[in-house]
Amino acid sequence: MDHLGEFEQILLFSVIRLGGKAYGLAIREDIEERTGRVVSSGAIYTSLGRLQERGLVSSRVETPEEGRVGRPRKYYCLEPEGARALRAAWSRLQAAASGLSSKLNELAEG
Amino acid sequence: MDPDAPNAPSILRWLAELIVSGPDAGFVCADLEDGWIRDRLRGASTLRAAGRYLANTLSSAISLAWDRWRGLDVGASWPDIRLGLRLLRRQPGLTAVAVFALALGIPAGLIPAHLVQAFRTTLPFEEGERIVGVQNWDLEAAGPRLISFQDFELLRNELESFQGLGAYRSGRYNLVPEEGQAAPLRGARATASTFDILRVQPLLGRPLVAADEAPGAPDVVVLGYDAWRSRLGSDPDVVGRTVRIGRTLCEVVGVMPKGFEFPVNDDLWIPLQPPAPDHPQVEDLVQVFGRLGRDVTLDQADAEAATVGQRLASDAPSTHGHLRLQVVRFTALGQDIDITEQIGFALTHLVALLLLGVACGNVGILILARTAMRTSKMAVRAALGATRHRIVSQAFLEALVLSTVAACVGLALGHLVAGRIQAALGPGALPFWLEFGITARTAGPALVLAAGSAVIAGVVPALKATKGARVKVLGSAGCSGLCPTTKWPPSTARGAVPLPTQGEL
Repeated sequence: MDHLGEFEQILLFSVIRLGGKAYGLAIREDIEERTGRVVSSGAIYTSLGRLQERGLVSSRVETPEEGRVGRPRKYYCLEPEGARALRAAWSRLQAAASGLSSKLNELAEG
Repeated sequence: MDPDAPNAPSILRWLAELIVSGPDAGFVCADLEDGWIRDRLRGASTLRAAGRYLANTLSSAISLAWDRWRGLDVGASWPDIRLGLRLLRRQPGLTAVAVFALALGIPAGLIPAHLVQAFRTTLPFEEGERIVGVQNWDLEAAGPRLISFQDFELLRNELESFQGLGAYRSGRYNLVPEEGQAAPLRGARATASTFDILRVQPLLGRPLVAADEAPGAPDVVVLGYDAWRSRLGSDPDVVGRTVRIGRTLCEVVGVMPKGFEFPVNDDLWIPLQPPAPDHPQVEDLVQVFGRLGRDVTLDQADAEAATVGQRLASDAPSTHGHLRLQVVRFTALGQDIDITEQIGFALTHLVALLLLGVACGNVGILILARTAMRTSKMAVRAALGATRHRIVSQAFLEALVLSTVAACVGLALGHLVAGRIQAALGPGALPFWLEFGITARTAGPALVLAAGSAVIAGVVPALKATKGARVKVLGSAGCSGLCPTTKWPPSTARGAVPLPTQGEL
């Protein structure tokens, strides 16, 4: 089973959420908005590039329609293998945290 | 993205394109630009948007570079780089002196190569590298010569290495609109084939066509973007209007897009018509250029041109006997740099590199002094199992961080100075294709020089400092003779030698 780090999981959730519009800036803003974590565009592309090498995501490049302003964008899409890896990672975390929510809150507060 | 939104300042875009590299660099730059526009549309101040742009640029460059570096497996790590950055902060005096020396030395070492590259550039058109010039080389005067219109027509029919051959003659013309003052502009009489060869479509109207070249054809002109803006008020209905070029009334048939100033800094184009049969040949000299055919190299075209030139010389030895027909890069057309000048130029390059060598030597001495102060730490690291290779490679990384910072500072300074020089020379002083600013092609050699500087300033002192360091320093710290790594006494280390931090191990 493919191991996914925390950032990779966040990235893949963002790709799912954005559907067909998952490109660098959109992913960056989604992560920033939901997690408060500021990440660079470079970090997003390098991580997604590695996930693509592992067959977990695929990408396509779209150029602006004729007459529109802009540069080409690279859109990412979650592959079934990626969905399985993310589900497994998420299940492991849930299993590890199962029943510990109140205990965790208790410890965190003091 | 909103096409009316303001674009990021060119200095930020230039910096991003310079330092963000890798297969996804284009997408990162596109995101940076989109991010800027979005920030501004959401009401962020220019300063805040610039800060976010800059932060994203730098962190993206580091991410992409680190990703590639990791792929290389050179044994370096992020802690090594962090240590290098920390040492820069810890010794600001040394950092300032070293950065200053290298920030001057690295651009100085690059100036000759940068100038060569600037002049050897290709025209900024589709497959611009295939656009070449054809000229006569005068063997007696040892210099280039223009080609007569008659010879041009002969070459156009005979040379098979070219997809198309064109000719032009540049000059200055007075453009007088229907209402307004006369203004002198640089322009060219050009064959209609010019526009096909360059593969540039007009912004408005049409380019020159073959019918315009026929004797007795109506007088027409194609205007450049700047002439259209400044002399005709960007009139969208300019096509069909009449302007006076010198004493001739010409109909405007087209306007070329912004940036099109072929062949030098020209702003209008009128048809180059064949001379009258009784016209003296000396006044019909033209510059000839063409687009190489597919899969034809410059050398092959040159060989074919030389063969045709030899035939012309044997047919008319009095006029062509001392000429050799040659094909050259377009940007070298009309240049007559001989071997002596090339040797002189190479020597200048050598002197510039020696200057960089002196700067590196001075920085090396500073780093050697710093390294000498850290010899005891190196000894402990060696005793704890760090190999000499590991210690030296870390020293290299520290120096590399320093020289890379210096190279970036030097390149930014060089770019600013080049821009100022170009602005001081004024518009039209240089050919439109000549760009003195720092480009990615210059940044590459700068980083190579930075790496070379790091070897001189970092590796050499580290090799010197680690040679027998363990024996001497540990000896002075209370361990007599050789202290094998396995018998390293912790009590001695605690008592006399400063332990390295975790990042240094």
